[in-house]
Amino acid sequence: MYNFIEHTSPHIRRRRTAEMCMWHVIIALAPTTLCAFYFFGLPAFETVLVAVCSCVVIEWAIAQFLMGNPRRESLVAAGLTGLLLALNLPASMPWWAIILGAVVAIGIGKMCFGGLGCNIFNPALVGRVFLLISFPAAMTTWMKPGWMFEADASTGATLLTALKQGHVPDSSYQYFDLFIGNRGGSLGEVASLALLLGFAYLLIVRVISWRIPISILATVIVFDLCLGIQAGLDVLSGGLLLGAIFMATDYVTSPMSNRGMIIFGICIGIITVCIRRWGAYPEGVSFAILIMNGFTPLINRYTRPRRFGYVKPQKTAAA
Amino acid sequence: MKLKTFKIGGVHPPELKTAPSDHIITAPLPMEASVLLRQHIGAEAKPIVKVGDQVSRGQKIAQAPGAISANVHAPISGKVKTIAPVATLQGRPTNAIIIVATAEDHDADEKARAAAPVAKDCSNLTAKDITDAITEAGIVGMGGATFPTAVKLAPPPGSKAEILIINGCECEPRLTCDAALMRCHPDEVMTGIDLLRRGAQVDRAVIGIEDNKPNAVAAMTAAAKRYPGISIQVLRTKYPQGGEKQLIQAITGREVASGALPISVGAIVQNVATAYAAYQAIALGQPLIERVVTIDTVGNFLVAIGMKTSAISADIPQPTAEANPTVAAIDVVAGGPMMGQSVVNIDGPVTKGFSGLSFVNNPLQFEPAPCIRCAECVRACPMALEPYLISTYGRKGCPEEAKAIGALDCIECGSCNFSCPSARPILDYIRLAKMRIRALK
Amino acid sequence: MALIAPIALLGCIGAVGAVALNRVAKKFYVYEDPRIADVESFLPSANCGACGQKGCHDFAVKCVCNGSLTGLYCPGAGDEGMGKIAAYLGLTAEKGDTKIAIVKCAGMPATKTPLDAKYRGPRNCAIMNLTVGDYACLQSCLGCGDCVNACPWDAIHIPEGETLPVVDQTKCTGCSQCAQACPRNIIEMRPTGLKGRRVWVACSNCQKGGVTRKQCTVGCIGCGLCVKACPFEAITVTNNLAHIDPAKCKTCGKCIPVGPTHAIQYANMKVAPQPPKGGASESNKPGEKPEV
Repeated sequence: MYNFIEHTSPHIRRRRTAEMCMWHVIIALAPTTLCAFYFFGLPAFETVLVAVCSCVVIEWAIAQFLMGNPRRESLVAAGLTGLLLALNLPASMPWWAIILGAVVAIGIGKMCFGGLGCNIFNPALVGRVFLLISFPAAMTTWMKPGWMFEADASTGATLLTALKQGHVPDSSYQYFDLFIGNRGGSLGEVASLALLLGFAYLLIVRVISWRIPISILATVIVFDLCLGIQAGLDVLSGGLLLGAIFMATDYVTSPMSNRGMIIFGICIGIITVCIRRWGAYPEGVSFAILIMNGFTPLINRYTRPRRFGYVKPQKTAAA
Repeated sequence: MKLKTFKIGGVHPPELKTAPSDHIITAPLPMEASVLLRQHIGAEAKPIVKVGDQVSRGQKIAQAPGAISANVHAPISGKVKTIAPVATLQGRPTNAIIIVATAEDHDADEKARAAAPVAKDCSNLTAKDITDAITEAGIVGMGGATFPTAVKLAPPPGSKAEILIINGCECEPRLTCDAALMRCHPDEVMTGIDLLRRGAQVDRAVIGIEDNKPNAVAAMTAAAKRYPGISIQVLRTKYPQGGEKQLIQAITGREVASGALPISVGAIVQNVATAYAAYQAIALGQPLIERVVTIDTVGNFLVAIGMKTSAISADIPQPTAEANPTVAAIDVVAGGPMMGQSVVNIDGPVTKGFSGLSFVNNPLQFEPAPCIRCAECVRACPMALEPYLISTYGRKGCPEEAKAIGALDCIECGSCNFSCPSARPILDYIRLAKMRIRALK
Repeated sequence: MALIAPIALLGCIGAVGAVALNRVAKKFYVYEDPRIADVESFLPSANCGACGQKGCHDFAVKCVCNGSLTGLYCPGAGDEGMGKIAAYLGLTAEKGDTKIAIVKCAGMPATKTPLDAKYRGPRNCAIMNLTVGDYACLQSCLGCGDCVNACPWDAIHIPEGETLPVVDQTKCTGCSQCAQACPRNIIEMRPTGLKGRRVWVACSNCQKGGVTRKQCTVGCIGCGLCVKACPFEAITVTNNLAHIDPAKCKTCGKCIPVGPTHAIQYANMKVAPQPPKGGASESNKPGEKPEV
């Protein structure tokens, strides 16, 4: 015995929901986060906790009091934004600055535009760039990876700063260290291996396509080789992997067609290398992604898929 | 070897083809049949019998008024009770001829039906004989589009058909009626295909079957040996393979231009059930008064057109008499769950285009979330459209913009809606956009 | 010097820009009759399209350029606004037959028979109409508010907690956008009537009386009692549905109480006392409803 339900076709739906996609990304970030805890200890844990909690609370508050009902998937998305923001910060970041970054990320980066799905720029990067410009000293005070709870606050210039200042990388920077994360940097950018694990996971569960990350990395490598720079160092150092795998592939702010994704990735790669080589900042991935986020609607418009059976309208003869 | 399939988009809904396709159960003839006058695309057929007339099984009871229409025949012998609107499965009143059989009529019909059919030799029929017989028998496309078959077989002036494509894909989840036909009556279907091929005056016919039906492929391959012009093409399973344009691309590699008919690339597409109906009409002299339908999870049935759908099998779950919030709500679908329509009246009559009942126990419950621009719909669209954008234009009332990005090319296959992770009613708003574009003219 | 150089530079850029702008504005200047803008100021600028033109500007252009106001009438501006335009242009305006939207359905959830099916999908009449909806009557209001969204005048609303749209007769201009938006065509544009008095059949169900009765308790069953009651032969029953011809109707109100389902509604008028079991005769505007 049953009642009928009326529905227009189709009557079935794929099981994956938007919320599940976000959880997949969070799972993919787990190895990176755990590596950060391992290398930076308790301060890293505090940073992640403060960023995630403040983002979720701000999202909930704005949705509840200004925009109507908060939705579950927006809260999960806010948590993801918080995690990405934390992974973009150094472990020594003061807690009040993290909250400020979260307010900017969620409030200005996302909710001002209308909430989930409406933002033009990646909210986590908006927060990070705001902090980078407002607190340049705190944002570039990298903790050296210490043993657990051994908060070694001594600072060290990162490899990119050294390269920028014209120092030839000395033997202390080993590829292997870069690969497993034994170096200074923000929480999420140190452990290249963990980031690649996350990338593999996202590809396997088909949450992201390979196009954006691979085109960014390939462009950086090719461009570096043309300029005669050690491409390997450029790829493994700084936030390039984190940005290419987790930030540039954000659904909302990246192009939708396959061709558009590749153009998007190539442009990010070129801008990144340009900023790193000739810009004022040692690090350029965040800016490159934000700049290209702004171009996404334009890319979408000009990389429309060729419609099935599309015939070019015949031009009428000029009068 | 990589199997052929269509190139753009497509999705893989769970198949759930649980109704066994190895046998077809003959459902008993009903005592009362409501034969709709409009079971096809085009004009309603005109009744040529009066209330109170005695009709016999297979007698023509309504005449097609024009080319785009189809004759209707009596599925049972009996007296015409009324000519009045009856509610279809979708709950809309449609004019129908209602025939009531007496016990003697019923027994005679069942006896005639059980007798072994004697197939005529059709080897020396001309193309015109074949198309005339198909028109007379009221055969329409039985895959669901219900376009009159004879019209499709006769190419418009100035175009020449080169290939007849037979759609045996059955890409809809849950349905197995075409597979059952191919497994249980391969020789009959093959004869029907040969008749359609000669009717359309083409040399070559290709039957496209998806690789999830190996038994049907084996049966048809064995049957095809006797016909040199007919071959089987196994296709990689992907929805919507059975879409006309998709199937043509999968088999011939040709792309039908936007707004054009398949004949523009020299192709004619027909369903296997249509081929079987052509065989019955020409070789057995029986017009289209029966068809095979799938009852989800139960089996495949040979049923008389016009009988109550709920009477096909005792295993069809019955709805509650009145709306009752305490019982489960089920989405009963006429056809497959991707393109079928919801049933609200399970007592509605079986029609020519009715391919089966699906019971979707886990209907779409969740509320739509905001679009996160994941582009799943763009990747899924077999027509390479941008469903999210057309849908937005439809919702915001911008028909011109929707038309400019190809809203009218949409085949309403539902792949976009199926793949949307935010549970957005994409296709509904595309339909709205199409309605508004048509209202522009 | 450090201060003067940038000021001079910026000044120069500004000057060059100003000259360029001035030249371009002169070169591409298109003369438009200044009266067009003035006429447009008399129009409601809702761009509803009820006049048959592409928008208010287009209407104003036609008014000025045609040399006469024949065939040009803006229901939004009304006779008053058209009078102003005519006076300004020195022409004579046509009198418009002012119309108002009426909803030819009175079915509430309490009166309509529900189907044992529940619609799930977007709350949009046009989409809902692809299915049969929640109720047995296929000519009843779907209640999703396509007409509300279509109205450029904010004149039609579905009150909170109700399912039928209500027309605000002080705001409705008769532009017929709502009637075009309704997928079931149950909104009729009807002459406003003398002193706003009007009587209409609030039902669109064409089924036979018995069927209609089963589908809704306030539907028109085509019984014909109102036809007999009408002294002016204004009412006809076609397709089991009564229709009151506004040209013949003298709004005497004799038809209102006679029908068994009380499907006839009225506005701005007093009627003879009704049998107590009424309940369907609800005026379009409750505030002006007479005591019954």
